[in-house]
Amino acid sequence: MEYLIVKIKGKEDEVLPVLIDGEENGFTCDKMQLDEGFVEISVNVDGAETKEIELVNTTDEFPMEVLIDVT
Amino acid sequence: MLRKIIVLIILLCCCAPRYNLQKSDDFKLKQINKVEQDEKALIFLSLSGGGSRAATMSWRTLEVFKNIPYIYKNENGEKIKSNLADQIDYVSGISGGSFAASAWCLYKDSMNVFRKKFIDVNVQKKLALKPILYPWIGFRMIFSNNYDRIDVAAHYYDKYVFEKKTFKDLPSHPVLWVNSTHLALATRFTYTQEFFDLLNSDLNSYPIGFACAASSAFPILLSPITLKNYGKTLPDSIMKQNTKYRMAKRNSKRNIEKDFYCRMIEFYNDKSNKWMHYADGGLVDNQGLQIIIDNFSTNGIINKALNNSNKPLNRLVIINVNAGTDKEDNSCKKEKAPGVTSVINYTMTTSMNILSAKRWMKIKSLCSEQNKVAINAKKNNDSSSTLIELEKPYCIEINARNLDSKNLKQAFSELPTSFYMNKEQIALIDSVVPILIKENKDVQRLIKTIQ
Repeated sequence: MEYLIVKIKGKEDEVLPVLIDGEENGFTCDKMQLDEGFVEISVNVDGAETKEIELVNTTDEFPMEVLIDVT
Repeated sequence: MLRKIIVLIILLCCCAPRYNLQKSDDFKLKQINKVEQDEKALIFLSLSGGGSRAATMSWRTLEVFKNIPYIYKNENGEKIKSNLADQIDYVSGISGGSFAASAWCLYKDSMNVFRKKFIDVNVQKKLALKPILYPWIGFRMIFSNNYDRIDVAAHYYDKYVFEKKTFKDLPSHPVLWVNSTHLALATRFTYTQEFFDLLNSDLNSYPIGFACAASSAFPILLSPITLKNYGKTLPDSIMKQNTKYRMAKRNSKRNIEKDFYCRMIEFYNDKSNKWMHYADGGLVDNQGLQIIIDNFSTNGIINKALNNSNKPLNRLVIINVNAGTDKEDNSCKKEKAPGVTSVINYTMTTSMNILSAKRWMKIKSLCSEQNKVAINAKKNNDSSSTLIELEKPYCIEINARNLDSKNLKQAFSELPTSFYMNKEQIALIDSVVPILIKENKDVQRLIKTIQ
């Protein structure tokens, strides 16, 4: 398992549903567990960017943090 | 007279078997009604193959679970009294276990119905006699290309076991997973709308008895069940609009499971593969565990529940009712190599038992991993963790190998794999299951937290 925290750029405390490969899964600010590999990340709100990242070499203590821009 | 017989034979041969229906333009997903459940718990039950032995063992387990009180607080903080069986969220069945899984979803409020319709009946005798007692069935089997032994079985289960119920008759809770094997792909095919979408077909109208027939269509004894693959082949550009497929493709070189997934999607999308053939679910997974493992992966039911801080998961329970038997093997005491029947049995059953055991160990390891993360989160008071409330997951295996009594273990191992159990054999299973449940440490740990 890999570990990921998604945050909104400029509003790091805002809680919104996260989209993983197009499906709602978890919320921003939470440490999520996902499979290793390429993953498409966004948040379920209008104007949110979509990022494709490679999720690898993370641990529970050191999760990957991804910032999503919402315009 | 002769003309009448010829006309009858032609009519019988022209009667197509009952295939799945194409999705209509106004197809809507079945509405899911909210059911009063412990929303902080996720409980899975997998029921293995093993003919009537498995169906009886599964059913007895559910009867015992029905008598185990389960008390929880609902969203309004009110104390709700329920029982362990009614709190099961997902029931996965293979072969004999698929009958009990389906029956549980349909008849759970009147437990005797399934005993009368299936457990107490000599099903295999009924199936064998059908073509003799009803000669037109025999004629149809001989003269029709699309009517075989499996169709006799499917129609029997449909009419006599499941009262012509289809998937639209199932309640919203628990969710039923009847598993079969796609023969060409050697992959799991579960009777869910998600899989029927690949066929551009509507699951709602499909008979539950037919799904159980596919799940228990043991090769050679029974022919596979065939489903129609509707629609037009989509070009690659359209296929890649599906994010799940596109990302699986992106990961397919490093992850062979994603590669298998992509190959499966592409095979179904190739609509020149108009007829899909499904056999016994036990050919790839004889305990119904693979679907549970798959749901630990990204966007699976378990994965989403573990990531959800809105309703933090408190309890994860996975119950594996395994009707497998440990028969003594004497083949290596003789110089003569095993015959064809034994070799078929070794390749289809014995090797699968090993793989299933590994699947169970994989589930235990995935649960153990979650437990470690939860312990760390509690220790470090990690506010970003979604597992802060998770109890140590419960992995419960109900299998005769765990019996303390050698005599009972021996008696259980001599039970046949068939669609008939005599009264003494049923009584043995009925007496063994409560002992297995009572002796299981994880069940006892669970009972302490739910009462």
